[in-house]
Amino acid sequence: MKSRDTKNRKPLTCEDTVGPYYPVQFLDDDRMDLTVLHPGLAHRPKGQQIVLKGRVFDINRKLATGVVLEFWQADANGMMRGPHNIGSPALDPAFDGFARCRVDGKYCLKTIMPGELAPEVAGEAARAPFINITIFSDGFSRLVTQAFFEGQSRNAIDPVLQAAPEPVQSRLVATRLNEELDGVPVYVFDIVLAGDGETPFFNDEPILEDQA
Amino acid sequence: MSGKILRIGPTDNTSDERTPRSPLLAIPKTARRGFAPWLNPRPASGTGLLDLTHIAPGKPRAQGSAIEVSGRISDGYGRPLRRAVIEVWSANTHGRYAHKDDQTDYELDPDFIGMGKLISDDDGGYVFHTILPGHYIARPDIGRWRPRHIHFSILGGASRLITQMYFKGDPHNDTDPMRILMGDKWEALQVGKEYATADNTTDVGYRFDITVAGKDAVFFE
Ligand SMILES: [Fe+3]
Repeated sequence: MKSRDTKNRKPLTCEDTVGPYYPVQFLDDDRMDLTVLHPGLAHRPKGQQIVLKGRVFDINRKLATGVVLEFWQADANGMMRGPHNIGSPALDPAFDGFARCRVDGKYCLKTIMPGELAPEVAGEAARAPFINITIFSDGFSRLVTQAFFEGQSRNAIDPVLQAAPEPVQSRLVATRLNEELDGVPVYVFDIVLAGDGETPFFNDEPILEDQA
Repeated sequence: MSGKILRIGPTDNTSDERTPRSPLLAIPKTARRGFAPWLNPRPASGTGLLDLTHIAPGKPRAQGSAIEVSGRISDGYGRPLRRAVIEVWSANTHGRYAHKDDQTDYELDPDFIGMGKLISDDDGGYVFHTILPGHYIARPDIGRWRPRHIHFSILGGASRLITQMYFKGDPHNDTDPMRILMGDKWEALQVGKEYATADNTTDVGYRFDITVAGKDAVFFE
């Protein structure tokens, strides 16, 4: 146990369930289209436009109603915004990478294909393109997972994808549909919250505890 | 490494249907970045006092007891979480949410919405005025009540937290399954500490300090 990490640590506030009444007006429908930073803006982010869509199922394979979904991703250069790269000229100024919606089990995100994430911080691995998805719902506080993309060569060496046992890895990979939507490639990523075909979720609790 | 298994949250209708049965996977240390959004607060948000006791200037004050809620958001080392986006929502004095999905027949107060967003200041501090929320029966099928509580979502500094603040003395506190799950920590960490407010716009204040620890907060040190 590293003494510096645990000395004088304050106990963390407990996570609690989000409940069924997360305010709808906190959500901004425009943020399900990341191909434009503000409605009415002519600038477009760099990169290949894509659509990522899917369904969220419960244990009975029923659509999970009233779930809040958040999406968080890198720009086409593989730059993900963070406190360490504020003001970096490499960040695409027309892209912020964050979307949020409240849906009754079906979502559709217009965005761009994220770039491969290059290590920006010491000790970091290079990453295959991915979109982080956080799910909030009555019944739990939140769940996090990452969607990868069919056909990306780096998938084979991505540390997060490879952290999932082989038999369930494919559940983290969005499949490309044959058809396009307005000329844009469509990827499908369904989320199964529980039971048969359950999506692998990750433990993003504070790192403090796994340094123990 | 064995993964954490989530427990079925007993206060919610859908927990059994929606809680993953498999253990959560550990995130490799080399790939922790990217699991929580890092955002600049939206420019529309401000740090002034958020007042939920009136839905608009000149409108009557919402029904019930007006309260102040304030506190400080910091990480596990006590460092302030500056410019964090704080979202709060709660039921009205009768225990009804002004949310289209709340179909209960508790009275809807036309002068209370009870949902708001604010930004923490440079010391991680926040303050808002609202109405003491009522308790409500969340699961009439099994007679399960939720004690008074205010929901909080904290987003900022590469961390995030969904939590609830509770109130001492509610008759349903002792039977609330979330409280029981939290054990001894509940009273120390999740209950607002009463204080006398300086002016008479509110009846009483509750201090609710929040400690978050996004994984990135340490990783980036
Ligand atoms: Fe509630």
